[in-house]
Amino acid sequence: MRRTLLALALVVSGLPAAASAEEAAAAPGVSMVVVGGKGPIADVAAFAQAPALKVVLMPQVATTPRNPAPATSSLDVRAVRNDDHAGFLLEWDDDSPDVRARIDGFGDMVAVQLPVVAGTLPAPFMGNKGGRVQILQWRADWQTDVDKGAVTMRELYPNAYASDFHHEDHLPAAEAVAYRGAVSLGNPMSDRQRTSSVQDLMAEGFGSLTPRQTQAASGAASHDGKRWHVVITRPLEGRGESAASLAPGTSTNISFAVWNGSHREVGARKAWAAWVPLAVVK
Amino acid sequence: MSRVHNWQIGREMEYPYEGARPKRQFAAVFDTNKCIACQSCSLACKGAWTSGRGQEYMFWNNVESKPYGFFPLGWDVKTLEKLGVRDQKGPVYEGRTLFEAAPDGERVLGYLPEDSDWTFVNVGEDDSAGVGIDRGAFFEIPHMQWMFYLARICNHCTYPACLASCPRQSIYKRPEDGVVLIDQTRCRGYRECVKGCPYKKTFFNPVTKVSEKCIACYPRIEEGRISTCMAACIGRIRLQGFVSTPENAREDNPIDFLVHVRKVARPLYPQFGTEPNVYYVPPIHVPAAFLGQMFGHGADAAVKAYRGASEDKDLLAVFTLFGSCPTLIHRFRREGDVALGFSEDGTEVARVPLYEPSIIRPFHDAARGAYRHNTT
Ligand code: SF4
Ligand code: SF4
Repeated sequence: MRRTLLALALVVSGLPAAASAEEAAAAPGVSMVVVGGKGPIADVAAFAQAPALKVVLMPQVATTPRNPAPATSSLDVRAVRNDDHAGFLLEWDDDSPDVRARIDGFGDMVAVQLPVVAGTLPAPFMGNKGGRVQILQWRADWQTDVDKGAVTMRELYPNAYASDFHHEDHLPAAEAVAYRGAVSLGNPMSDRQRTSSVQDLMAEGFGSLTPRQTQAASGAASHDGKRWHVVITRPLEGRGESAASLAPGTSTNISFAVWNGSHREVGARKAWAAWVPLAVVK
Repeated sequence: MSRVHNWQIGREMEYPYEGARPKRQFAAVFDTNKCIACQSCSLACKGAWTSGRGQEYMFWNNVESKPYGFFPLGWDVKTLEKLGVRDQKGPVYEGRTLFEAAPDGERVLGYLPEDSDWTFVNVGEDDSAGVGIDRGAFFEIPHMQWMFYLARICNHCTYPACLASCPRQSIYKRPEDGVVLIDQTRCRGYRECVKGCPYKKTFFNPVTKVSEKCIACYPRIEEGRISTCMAACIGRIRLQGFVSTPENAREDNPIDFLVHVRKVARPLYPQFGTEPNVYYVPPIHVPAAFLGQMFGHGADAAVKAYRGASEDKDLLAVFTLFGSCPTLIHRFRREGDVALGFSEDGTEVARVPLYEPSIIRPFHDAARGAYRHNTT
């Protein structure tokens, strides 16, 4: 299976990567508008002068599992930078915001992908062996964690009968760890004191997505009843290992993915876009 | 897809990974005829492993009343319906497994239960309802209506559908004992395993945002002890050990003896193709057609062998060892009318007489001047 997948990845990635090399040069790209100031860019107002690029999204069909008809077909992208941070404003239609992951329900997500080596074109599907990408994924349920606090069963299922007694509350810390599952093991998915709605990840192909040791990205979001407006921001300099550099005056490539929770889009079941050029204006 | 051999369906089948059998394979035999639905197993498991936040709805071990009980609702009938009801009528299954029937773009044919499917566990499932039951109906013997209790845990399948479904390879099968685990540091909560496992024995924890499953109490197995649901079983319906493939069956391994030698225990829905490793002695009072669908082609023979257990002292010996000690029994022996169980290093850990002594007391107790009734 592994071999088949790899072969498939090579075949599929070989074509678009080669094609996109020329396409990318000619394709309308994203150009960062310079704004004043320093620090993370969380405010949508910062993007007022940035032109929007409409990015066409396609179903992910190169690997299994896949949803052949994802809900989102395009994404509006704007980019700005200040003295030390880059910001991406991502906006798309979604009239059913999913801000909490329930047992059978998924949260909305959006991600930007950058090649770790600026200007290269790894396979657009999460990179390839030797073609590492950095992925910044904003997660609606993480945004809710940040804004409202960690999720509880009472919040998700107010009418369910559930005991309020948990071993972990009544045991010495060393013994309580066994009752916290992934929380105790430090899986970032399970963080109860979340401070960022954006996860900073790297990948070298399908199934290899891994959180970076240095988490340097954050986000902000609003939903107006019809559309998501999400800002993802990170330092211009690449912090830690496997961080794409966004040095002013350079150019690189960028691509995107969107997941619609109501349509049970998660993981490989997503809408994605091919690489487009990204200019980090001086 | 690779080709792997699944002895339960008597043929090679497609599986997303190359087959690699563990050094030994966790297994258990559950005797459905003895389960009293006391739920001691479910609560033993709950207290041990799923008392945490987000685990409230989980029962890694559950006991449901068949045919109308399910956890989650309709788990087996929904999958059978998708697969197209196709029983294994002979030693070789001719239909498609869940891997072979996977729709385009999927690794396994599965479905994701709805939140409401997990609610009201066990509620109402023993109530008589449906076609053919008239007002005023009552139980007759032989049974006019029938039901039985089905205790379920993760089957620690040889070809796990949960593992096959996970695009991140977060699920692994331990080479030392075949226990199937979800790596809690690697899982990202996609729920592909919840969708893929036909037995619905992986569970998404919405508080930790990753999936969890039965771990077969592997810390106990590592110490040579049986899992907590097995130890808690007051019906003594469970025997835990390791199962071999048929060609490597060892007569003195109690699980092999039941599964391969006497063939009195059958896998649950072998047609799914995962080679599940909890084996069931089918309920002897249930129509053969139902048993054939649920336990595959050997169900009739299993019932027959079980009915003959009183004449088969070796079989009786293994059954008396069920629930006889907290240690994993690797070998057994019968000495006359006594069954003996041995741990891995050969220590005798169980010694059980095949027959309990019976004492007949007279109807009239002259010493007390009282009559005895069989209700006292
Ligand atoms: S029963 Fe389900 S969860 Fe357990 S190993 Fe088999 S497929 Fe995986
Ligand atoms: S403890 Fe044993 S008898 Fe009781 S419900 Fe569980 S399997 Fe059945």
